[in-house]
Amino acid sequence: MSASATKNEQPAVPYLGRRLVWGVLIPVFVTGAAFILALSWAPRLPEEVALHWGEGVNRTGPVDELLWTNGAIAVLSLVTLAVFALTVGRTSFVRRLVLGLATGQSVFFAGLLLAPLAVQLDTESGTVPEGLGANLLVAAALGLCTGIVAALAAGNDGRLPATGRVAGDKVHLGTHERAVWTVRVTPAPKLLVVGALGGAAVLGILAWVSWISDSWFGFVAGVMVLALVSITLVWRVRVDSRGLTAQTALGWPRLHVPSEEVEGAESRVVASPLKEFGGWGIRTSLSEPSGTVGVIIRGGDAIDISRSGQRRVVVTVNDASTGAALLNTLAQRSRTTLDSEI
Amino acid sequence: MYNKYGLGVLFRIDPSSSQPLFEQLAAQVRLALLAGDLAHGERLPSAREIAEALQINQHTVLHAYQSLRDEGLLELRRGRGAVITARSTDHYQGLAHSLEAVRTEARRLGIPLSAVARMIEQPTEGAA
Repeated sequence: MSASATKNEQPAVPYLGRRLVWGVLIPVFVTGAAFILALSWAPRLPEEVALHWGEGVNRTGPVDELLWTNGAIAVLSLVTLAVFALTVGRTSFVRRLVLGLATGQSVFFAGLLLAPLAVQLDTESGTVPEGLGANLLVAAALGLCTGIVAALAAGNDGRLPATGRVAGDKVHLGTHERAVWTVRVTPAPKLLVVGALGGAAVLGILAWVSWISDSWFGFVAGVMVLALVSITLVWRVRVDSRGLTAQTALGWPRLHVPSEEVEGAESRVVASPLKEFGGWGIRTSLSEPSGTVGVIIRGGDAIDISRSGQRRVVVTVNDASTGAALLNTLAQRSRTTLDSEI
Repeated sequence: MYNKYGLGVLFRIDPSSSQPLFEQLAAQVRLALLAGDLAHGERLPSAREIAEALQINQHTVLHAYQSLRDEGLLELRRGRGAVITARSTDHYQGLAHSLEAVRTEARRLGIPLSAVARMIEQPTEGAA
């Protein structure tokens, strides 16, 4: 009874300090500083700031309106990602994504909050502000850079070699034989069509709203989000003596499972990405077991890897049985090499 | 549920074998084409990726790809890597049929295929 209880106990998420710093403290500091700066600018801003403008000023209002709409987005993103930073991230793959997003997004949203105010400092009510686009670009670039720094600072996973025999089917490989298996993963055509239509519809609505209001924030932000999402749709998966590596066409994000940490891999069918993983893309689970990471690009065949430390990795690929069997074989081999070294 | 497109590519090499490594790699692409596991338009992994994964020289992989290109099975394009050509599948149709005929004949005569393979590698003088 007690033995099974210990076995089911979840190992703690590592790097609490770094998750606190990059996932909570820095985002809170950045967002707080942006609010304080914005409030301190109040005396230098016109009574009625321009809210939407193009050739002329279309709509003006009290500064509070700008502050609270943009501020609400910043705070919502801050709280959501802080919760993620504190609860998930047993693999560096997820930890890097969450901390990168938490820091980068707080900087970008702080810029989004400050940019429309900065261009109206010391102006009269009714003047058409200039230079917003450049400010937003700077905010996006700063967000991206700080996000990358946070992702880099998120910490590697410590080595955690698995022990015992590797479970699951294997391929026959001669003593001197080496092997590599690679495959490309793309979304199902149906999902792609639906996604493309949905994306086009969202962009269309954003463009229409932007056209009417003469403010292109929403549209630019929409394009950036769609670009980020489409990057994570095409993946290359490789199994070789180093283990399994899944990376996007760009090379990042990249998920690596070292062969020495493979307890066993098997091929199985993900019948419904929506039911099992709550959707498509890079998935992790807040509840059980928090060490699960999924690269779920479409339903169907998937390699399901039991990784040391009660972690699990699921990657949807065609011909998953070949990939899983090769991974098991090479994992077993890496273990025997290690044993012979000792 | 899925067509064979995008099945993935498995490369295996045996450095202890007398067959040159580039020839081992090229032979596997030919076999995959014969079996229909590789379809035209499909992209092979980059030479660098294969070389790193198999811990061999990148030029060995390029050598294999170049000989496949010379056979008209691959197109090598800068930036796009190695792509299976449209002709490659037709290319092997005749050979695939002949091989099937040889297999049927061998089965009829009860000759193991390994023996047939040796016959192919060492043609008798009469046949030559």
